[in-house]
Amino acid sequence: MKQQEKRWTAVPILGAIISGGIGLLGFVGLVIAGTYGLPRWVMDSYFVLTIGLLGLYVALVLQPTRKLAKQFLRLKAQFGSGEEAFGRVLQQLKAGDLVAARAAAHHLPPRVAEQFVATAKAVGALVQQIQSSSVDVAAAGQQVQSIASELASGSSEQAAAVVEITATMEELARTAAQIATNAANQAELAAQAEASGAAGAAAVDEALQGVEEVQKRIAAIAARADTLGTRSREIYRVLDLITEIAQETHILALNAAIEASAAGEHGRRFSVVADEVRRLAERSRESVDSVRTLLEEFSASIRATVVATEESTKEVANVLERARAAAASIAELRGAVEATSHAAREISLATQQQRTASDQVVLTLKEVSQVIQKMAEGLKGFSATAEHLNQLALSIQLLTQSFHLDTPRSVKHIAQTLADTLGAEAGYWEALDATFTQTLKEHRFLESAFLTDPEGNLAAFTVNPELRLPEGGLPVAIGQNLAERPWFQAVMRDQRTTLTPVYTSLLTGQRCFTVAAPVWDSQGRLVGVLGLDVNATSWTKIAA
Amino acid sequence: MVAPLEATRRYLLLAAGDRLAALEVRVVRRILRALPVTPLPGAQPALLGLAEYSGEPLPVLDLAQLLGAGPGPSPAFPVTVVVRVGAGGELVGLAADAALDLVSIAPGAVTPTGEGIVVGEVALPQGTAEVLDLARLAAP
Amino acid sequence: MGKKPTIRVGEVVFPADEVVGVVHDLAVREPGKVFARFWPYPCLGLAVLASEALVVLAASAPPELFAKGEP
Repeated sequence: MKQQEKRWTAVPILGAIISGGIGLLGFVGLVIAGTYGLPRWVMDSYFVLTIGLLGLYVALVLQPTRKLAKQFLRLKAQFGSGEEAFGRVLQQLKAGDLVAARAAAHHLPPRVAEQFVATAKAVGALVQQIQSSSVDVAAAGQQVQSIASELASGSSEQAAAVVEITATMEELARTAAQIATNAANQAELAAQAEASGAAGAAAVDEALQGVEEVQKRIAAIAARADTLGTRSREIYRVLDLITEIAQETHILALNAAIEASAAGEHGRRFSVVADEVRRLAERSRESVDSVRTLLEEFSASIRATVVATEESTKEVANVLERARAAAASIAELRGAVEATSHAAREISLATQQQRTASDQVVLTLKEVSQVIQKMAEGLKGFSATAEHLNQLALSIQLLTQSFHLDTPRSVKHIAQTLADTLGAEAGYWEALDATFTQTLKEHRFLESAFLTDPEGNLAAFTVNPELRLPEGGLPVAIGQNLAERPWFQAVMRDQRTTLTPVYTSLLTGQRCFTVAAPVWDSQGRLVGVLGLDVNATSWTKIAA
Repeated sequence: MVAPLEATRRYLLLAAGDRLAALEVRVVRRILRALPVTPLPGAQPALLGLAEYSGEPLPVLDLAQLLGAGPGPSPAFPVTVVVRVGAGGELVGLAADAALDLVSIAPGAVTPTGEGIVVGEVALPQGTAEVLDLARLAAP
Repeated sequence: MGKKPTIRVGEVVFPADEVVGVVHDLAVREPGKVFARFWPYPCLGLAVLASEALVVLAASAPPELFAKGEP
């Protein structure tokens, strides 16, 4: 294209040079002819040639050039209007207003307009994608924050647990020390008990020996009593025999006496003898009786002795039993004492081990608490990162909002639509509050809607009915001049819908931004500035 | 009361059950250690049975039953007293628990009771004895 | 054996526990009055055989107590 340009721009210059040259040539020729008095035919032919050249030049060069120039000027004019249109489109694009740009693009050449519309659509789609992505980012940021705060609370719980465990360990260590002391005492007592146990065992052994001796003696006595018993039984048999003989003798004597009495005088001497015999028998019987009595006594005493020895034997057996039981108890005791000593030693060892173990635990806990601390600090950073993410998401959202798209998410669109409505009804602003309220209800993320006159005086102010008003009352009053506010100034400056940066709302105390739009009437006069306060938090939550 | 020797008679003093009985010696033939007795079927309770004495059959009566005595101490040396009963001199054995002694009894000392074979009672140093007259056994 | 012996004398049957023996000669004493009083049954008398005292019965006049069977 540049080469073509060069050619075309070169042409008039060339034309000028050529025609200048030709003219110069003619003049020079005339001068020469006049000077040197050349033949006329030279001057005439030179003149004809010069005219011929001129004519040729006009026909071949100047005319086409002029045609070209005319075409060029026509194109330029065309281009100029096209450029204007293009300029308008670009201006709208610069302001991010894709909707207006699309409208302006209709004035562009059709192919260009087609391309442009396609491009605008693509850009719009991209912006929407960015918007929804930024919502995702914000959501992710919130998740991260909630996780971080959970972790933070968890780590503070952990920290508390560590403190508890440490306290418990210290308690444990104290208890272990106590136990160790007790065990040491026990060991001493056990040693003492062992000594007395040994003495006790020796005593019991002696007693047992003595008792066994007694047992032997008693057995000997019992044997002797047995022998005596046998002897006395023999004696009883003899006595029985004697008794029988005495009885027989008695009867014999009686018979003899009876015979004697029958014999009369002759029998008298015999009866005396018989009486003697009878008396003998009687005496035998008596002595047998006394022997029997003595024997009875003797037997009784033997029996008593036997009984006594039996009793003694039983007694001895009891004593033996008790002594053996005592020996067993002592043995048990000694065993227990031994076990106690052993146990005391074990306990001492165990408490030592425990102390080592609990020391280790305390060390480990210290390490753990350090880790927890680090984690808490990390979480703080985490939390900060999450906050950063949120901010980032909001910034992205706001950036994308600087594009005016005709989507419901676009606050600019909302503001613009509302401004158009107000503009159409300029002069009939009685129902402003109702209109505002409806818009606020439709878009719950809007905190408030307000309108100023072109000087900046607040004409109307409606708060979203779902919001709780702050204790101090409304932050602005009707009639108050808000010309200093940045949104007002931006609108007046740019004459288009603008967004403010994020600030803290006086109404809710939360982060918000203002979208402000100029209100034109049907004649194109500025009749007011519309403002909408957007709550950043609730706005980012709304799905695209 | 001690009677003069000439007025008394000699009696054999026997123990039977819880009683003491006195028999005139002139009816006593012999005192023996208790004889073995074979009981007879159909006999009266007082007839213990038959025994053999010097080759002769001897019916043996239980003195305690004859007297209607109650049980006494167990006899250490029971006897059979061979007695002559009645005019015919029938030999009968009396089973008694013991032959105690020969005693002299004055007839006046006997308090008559007149029951069966018992003539009367007499107080003796050994106790109250029933004086018997066996002749009444033979009476129908 | 188990069955107790019986002795038949003519039409009379004597139950017995045991038959001790049979003798031809026996010195029989007349029963005395005392005996008869205490054993009031017809009999020939008393005798001694082999150191045992017996009551001798007449076959012709057995005491009823035998005829009945067990006394």
